[in-house]
Amino acid sequence: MSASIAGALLLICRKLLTALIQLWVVATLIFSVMYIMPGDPVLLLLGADSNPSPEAIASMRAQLGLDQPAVSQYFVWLWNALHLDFGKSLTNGYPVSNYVMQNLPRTLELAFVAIIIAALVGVPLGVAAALKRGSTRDTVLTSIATLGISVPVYIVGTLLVLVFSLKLGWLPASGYTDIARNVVEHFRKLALPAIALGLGLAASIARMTRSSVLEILGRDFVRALRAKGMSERRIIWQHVLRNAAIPIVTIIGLQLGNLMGGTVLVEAMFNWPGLSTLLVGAVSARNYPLVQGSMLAIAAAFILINLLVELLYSLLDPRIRRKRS
Amino acid sequence: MKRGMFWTALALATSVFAQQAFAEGSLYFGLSGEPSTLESTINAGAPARTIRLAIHRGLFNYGPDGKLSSELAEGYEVTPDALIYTFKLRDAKFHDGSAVTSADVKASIERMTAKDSKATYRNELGVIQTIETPDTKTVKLVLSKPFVPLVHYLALPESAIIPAAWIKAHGTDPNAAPVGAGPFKFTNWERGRELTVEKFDSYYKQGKPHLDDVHYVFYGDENTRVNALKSGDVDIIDYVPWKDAASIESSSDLKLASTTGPFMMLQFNTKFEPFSKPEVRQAISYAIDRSTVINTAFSGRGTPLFGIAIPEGYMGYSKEKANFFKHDPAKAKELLAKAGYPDGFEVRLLATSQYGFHNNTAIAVQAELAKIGIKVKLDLPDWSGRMAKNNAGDYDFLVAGTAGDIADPDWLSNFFYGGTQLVRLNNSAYFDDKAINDLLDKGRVTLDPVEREKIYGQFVDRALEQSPFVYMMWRDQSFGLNKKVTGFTNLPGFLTFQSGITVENVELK
Amino acid sequence: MILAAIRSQPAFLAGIIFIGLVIFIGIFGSWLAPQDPFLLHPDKVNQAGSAAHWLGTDEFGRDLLSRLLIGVQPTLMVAIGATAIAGFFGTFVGIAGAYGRPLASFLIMRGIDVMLSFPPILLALLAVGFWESGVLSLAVVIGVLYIPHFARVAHAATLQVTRMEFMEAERAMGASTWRVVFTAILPNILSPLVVQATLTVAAAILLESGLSFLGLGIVPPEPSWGQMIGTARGYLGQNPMYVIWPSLLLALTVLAINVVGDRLRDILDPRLREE
Repeated sequence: MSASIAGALLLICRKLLTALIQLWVVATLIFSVMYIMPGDPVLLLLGADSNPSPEAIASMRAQLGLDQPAVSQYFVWLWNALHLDFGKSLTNGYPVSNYVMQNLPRTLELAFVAIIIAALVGVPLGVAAALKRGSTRDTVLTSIATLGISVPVYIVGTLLVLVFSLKLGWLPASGYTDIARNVVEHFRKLALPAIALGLGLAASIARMTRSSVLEILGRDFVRALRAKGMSERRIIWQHVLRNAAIPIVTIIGLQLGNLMGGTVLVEAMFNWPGLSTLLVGAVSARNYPLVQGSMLAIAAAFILINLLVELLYSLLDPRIRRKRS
Repeated sequence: MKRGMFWTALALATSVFAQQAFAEGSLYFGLSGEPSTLESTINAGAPARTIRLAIHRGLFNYGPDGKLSSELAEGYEVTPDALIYTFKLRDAKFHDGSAVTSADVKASIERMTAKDSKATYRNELGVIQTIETPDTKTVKLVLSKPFVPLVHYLALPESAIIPAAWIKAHGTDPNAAPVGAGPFKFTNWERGRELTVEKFDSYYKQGKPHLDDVHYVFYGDENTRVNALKSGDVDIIDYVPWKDAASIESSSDLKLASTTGPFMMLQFNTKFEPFSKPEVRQAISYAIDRSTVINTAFSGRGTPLFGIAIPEGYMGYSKEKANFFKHDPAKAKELLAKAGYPDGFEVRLLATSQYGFHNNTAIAVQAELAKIGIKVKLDLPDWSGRMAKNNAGDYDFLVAGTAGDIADPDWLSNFFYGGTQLVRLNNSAYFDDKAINDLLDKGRVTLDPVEREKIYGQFVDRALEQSPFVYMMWRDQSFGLNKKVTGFTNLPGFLTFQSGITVENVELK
Repeated sequence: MILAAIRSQPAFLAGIIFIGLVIFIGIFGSWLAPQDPFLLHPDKVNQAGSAAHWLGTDEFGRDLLSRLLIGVQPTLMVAIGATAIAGFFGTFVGIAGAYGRPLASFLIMRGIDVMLSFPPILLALLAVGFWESGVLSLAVVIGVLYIPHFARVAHAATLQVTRMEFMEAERAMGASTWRVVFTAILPNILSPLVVQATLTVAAAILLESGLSFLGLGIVPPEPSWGQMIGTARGYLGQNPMYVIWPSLLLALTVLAINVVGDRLRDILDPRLREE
């Protein structure tokens, strides 16, 4: 017993170490990308309608440390990042970690609620379609799911706003209220973006669920179980769904991870001040430290979620656990 | 479980209560962007100016009528040689309770003119040589050379007066909470979401402001901003997209406040061979049907512009020169042939995909120029990429949408003056015309208005002949308001981006 | 076999005809367009359908039907190109990750994770800096973005397949790695890959509209469906049909690809075939 706990701990440690190395690779890539990118933060900093002189530009660049060689900038940055200091925003000197800590939970919240909505809608639909394969129900469900995939999230969002806030006036069109300030308002403002995001994801989860369930249904062991006279209900609940769970969890985990940097359009259209908003704004302003910090946060969240999904795998599929250990 | 419910209920009750208590005097202002900085000396765009004009006041500002208004200064005197300006300060207080004194004015201006200053208008204000403070209420500016538009530059939002003590303590900290003498005190800036200011009780204008607090909420996406206004999430929005203006006008709860200050123009790289010839630039002015641009990129909300972009009532405006060009493709072809390009040429047009009206103006221009044989290839990076290319002179010609900074004709210098720095944001790259430079130099030092008017008349003639820019249209610039908002004015002419000053007059019905 | 499937399944037939039609338009779109898709009508912007413009006009007064037709080509090229790139590289990377030597597969899968944790917007920006925007760079960027997705799906599926009994048999018989990959693994992991491919085609078309915001789109005035949908969102109030036409076409195309993809998978999948 204790040996297996030790083994599990070892596994977790190994995965954590891998995650850290991965994070370092990502960090290095992120850092180098910023220097290749076109555009110049200094021009934007010196004002909208000014004609900055070359001297003003040079002095600004020196002040921001942008005149140092890239390699030395990299090591300074990495060393500070190790101490969780991601530098300061170029535009106003506000610490990047403050920005990230403020916006990260909002994106996490939006993503989790959306993925829960998506799973609650998508998995049952997919199973329902698969069990009556080729029937009218299957065709209708599959068509709806396809429609869901092919309608972009900003169209879904716009329609939701049109109906639920402009026509009916039930929900606010956009914005964010701190949960500490007003709980009800907080969730009222979360509702539309989470639904808009969740519906699109539900469609692809439904598609994946349908095909995995179908695939398991075609396996030999299912036929064997049927031949043994096991009830269809038991076959599906105990065997088919359990086996189909791995690819389904894979895609849900993958999507949750993607949401870390992929809520851009939804955050923008609902004015949800999350991590993507931060990143896009920072990219537009070529605010290097903020871009690096928010991307690192996105990558870290992504890697962490993946870690959890992998651990979940081994819970779901004892064979993988055995093979790995 | 029960405990949790109790706390939730309590939070709910208090928050509902709190909201209602403030509902009376709280204005929600949806802004098209978040200021990159609150540093008062840098022009960081329209949203930053709107907020700055709630917190800060200068010696002068522009009032709702678009004219200079005396704010912290009661008035000024100028010596006949235009070298010494004397200002009398009124009794006013900063948000920290201290009185506005001549020492504060001196410190504020010196901060802008200092050698290492990053102030946007440092070059213009650089003519101020010494600042004398004979007493606490008198300020004397001594200039190194005559500079007639000085007061206009001092009226810009970036020429705000801030406490000398604050400059000493926080002058180099871009994150310090700003302190000014404006109608509202800074309270909180939640990055990425909103900036809040509250009423300043000791504001020097009796009975103002009327609001208890103003929430400036940032809405980068234009469609989202409009929806926020329509659903009542906010009371005012800036930068109403042209396509949505009609639906706001026709709504029973909303109204539109429009002016036609900013203009759209084409800016040329005069090193690009065809564009080095004035005839070619003129041909382009003749070739473009202005109504095509207005009806497509601006949903019909704009006014054709066939001369130099000088608003009516501004110095240099004249009725006959305002329509120097017209839409005349035949004449355009003739001019092209004369310049040696009878079959047109190929050219890159720089704009940005980030803003729909820039993008669409470029598409309209492309279609119009195709009719006289000029093949336009579009280059549409994001805004930052476009700015970088603009500033590096990496374009053949580009779409620009802007306005003059001040109501004095010296705004033209920023655009037309050649001089030492020939690649800048706002000039046509490498354009340097001695006649134009001389006239602009003369205009800045001439005090007599009649004489000045003549100089700018000559300038306009020369500028039309050279046409370093092709002006296309005045675009409508609108704020959308809930009908319960009164007292807000969209400033006329170039000053629309300084309309935030009228928030001090706003009342909610 | 495919012919038999066509006969027995009208939806499959309809799907094939629709896809054929779309490809036909993709090739001959510029001849089929009833009007000049680039001609501006500033006096007729955002109009609903009429005799002159069957589907109405866009914000420049250009004929929507003509633009939809000539927009098929760049749309398809981006979608197919991206899916091909992602599918080809992703599948082999994924198989290698599951079936390769431990160290190699470890490095491969961690590399995939690194790629996945990289927000798409960054890669897009990099591309903007280096390439002219247009069909090819879009296809490559979107393709590269989806490589890890294919790899993950292929990886998970291969892990399952390699545990099956017949794999032991193949290995026992001493089959070469390549033979195992092509005859045993690939056919058995095809079904999730086909689903992933249909998802990718749709996603690529939509992503293209998002990237145009960064200046990486199809260069105007050339139209594409994604770009049309993205633009039309702003005109929902003035001209609702503007967004409906391209969305509808996109949805139908994706639906057709799905139906055909599903059937093809059934035909190709050796285990389902036996039924």
